[in-house]
Amino acid sequence: MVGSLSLPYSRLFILALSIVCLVSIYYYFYRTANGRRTRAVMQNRQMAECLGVSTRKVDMITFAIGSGFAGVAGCALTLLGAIGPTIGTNYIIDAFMVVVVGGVGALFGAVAGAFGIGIFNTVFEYVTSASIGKVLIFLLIIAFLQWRPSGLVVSRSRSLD
Amino acid sequence: MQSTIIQKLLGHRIIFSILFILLLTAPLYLSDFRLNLLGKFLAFAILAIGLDLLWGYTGVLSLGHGIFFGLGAYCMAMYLKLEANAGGLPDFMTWSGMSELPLIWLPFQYPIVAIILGVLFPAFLAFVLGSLTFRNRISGVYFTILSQALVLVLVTLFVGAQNLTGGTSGLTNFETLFGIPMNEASTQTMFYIITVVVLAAIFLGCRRLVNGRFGNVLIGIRDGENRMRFLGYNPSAYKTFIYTLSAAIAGMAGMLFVLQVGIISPTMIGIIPSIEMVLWVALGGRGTIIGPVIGAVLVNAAKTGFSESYPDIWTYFLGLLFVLVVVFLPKGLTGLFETWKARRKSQNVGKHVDVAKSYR
Repeated sequence: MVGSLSLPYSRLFILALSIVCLVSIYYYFYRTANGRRTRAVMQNRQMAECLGVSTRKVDMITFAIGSGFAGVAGCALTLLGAIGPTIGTNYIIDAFMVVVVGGVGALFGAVAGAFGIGIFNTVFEYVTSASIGKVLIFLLIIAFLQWRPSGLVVSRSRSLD
Repeated sequence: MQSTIIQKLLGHRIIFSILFILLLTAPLYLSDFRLNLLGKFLAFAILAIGLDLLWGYTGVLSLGHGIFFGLGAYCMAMYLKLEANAGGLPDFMTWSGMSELPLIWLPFQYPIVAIILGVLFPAFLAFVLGSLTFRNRISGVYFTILSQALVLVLVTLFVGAQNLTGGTSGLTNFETLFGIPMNEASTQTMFYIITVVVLAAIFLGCRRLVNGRFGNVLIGIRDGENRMRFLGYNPSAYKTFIYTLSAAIAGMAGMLFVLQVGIISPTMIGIIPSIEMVLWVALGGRGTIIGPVIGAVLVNAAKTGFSESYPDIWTYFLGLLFVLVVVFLPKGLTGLFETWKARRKSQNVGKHVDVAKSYR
């Protein structure tokens, strides 16, 4: 479409879908009362509880939202490749790694981490082989964590475990 | 008071001795098939003890113990494969067009080297990953994810390097160990006895380790890592040591597993088996040494039992078992025993109070 670069409509749709998801999550976390409670629990569970936030309720809602978004991601995946009962296991590790690299509890970190891991993964698999590419990514993440032990975006809080 | 402590110690010792003798004499009353299964479960129990040292005592959850188990198992299997082929190339290597033994396989011609590497190699890998992560205070969920990623990476590597590891089909068709035929009943009984002895040794060793001062430091790290740090301990060193130790134990378990089961493949050491291993510990009760042993044997026995009786729906039973234990017994089966003991104790205390009242 643009020059020699061509994007199929299904991929454009996924791109749009992920932007919509991202914006709605951002709105929920940073613009609503429930989102504020969620962030409070994440940063300092005990203190949030002391201030009257029902952590149980927050846990339930957050888990439900997280599962729902996983479902949306699953829908997007059907447009990309083959579907089977074990499709999720292929993505567990990648999803976790994105969080580790981005920093737990940081939306921007997750986006940056996902882009970073995705791009490096593709490059490594293109240059070497699929299995060596996985090893290189893992080593890169370990090396990255030596430099930034708690991920790209650090959420500061006064709580000490 | 003193006499009750002595009684208690004696009681424990007697129970463990009876269990040990029961396990040792199992070849007399179990069929060869059942004995082989029990031997496999006990190999898993060895791994579960190591995992519990890490999770139950030090509070570090590793979802990657399958790979340490696998490395031990592969080290043993490589030696067995070479011996089965009597110096020639293993069959899968010829299939992938290799003409001479690759460099990595050379040390595994010698059984002693293979056994030592089966313990040292997982320990070394755990030491490297542990020191790189714990030193930077990467802990909790971060470490768990990294340990799981390690499994994924290495299993992909194992599957990918087909000419070195046999790919997805793994290593099998072993015939002899030290020139003794492996598949005969007497040899299998010997492997079983060795497994029981190793289990007992690791059980006693770990119990000694956690009951002393060292164990208190581990529990301290689990319950308040920063406090331990402020007290002048170095939690990273302790964690790295325990991680290394439990990887070495897992390697040992892997070697015993291969001897009795006769096959090792990437599906047995992947992500799902690694999570299952954690479930054994959780079900048996973490933070005790006997708990993981009970958990590993019970879960695997249930797995075998259910799948024999209900071949179509056995996974539902297993899932139900896990859910029930997690919901009703958060501390696992040994937790049930502890509450029962505590309740009995409080009843006894009540009795004493009554006695005191009657004297008044």
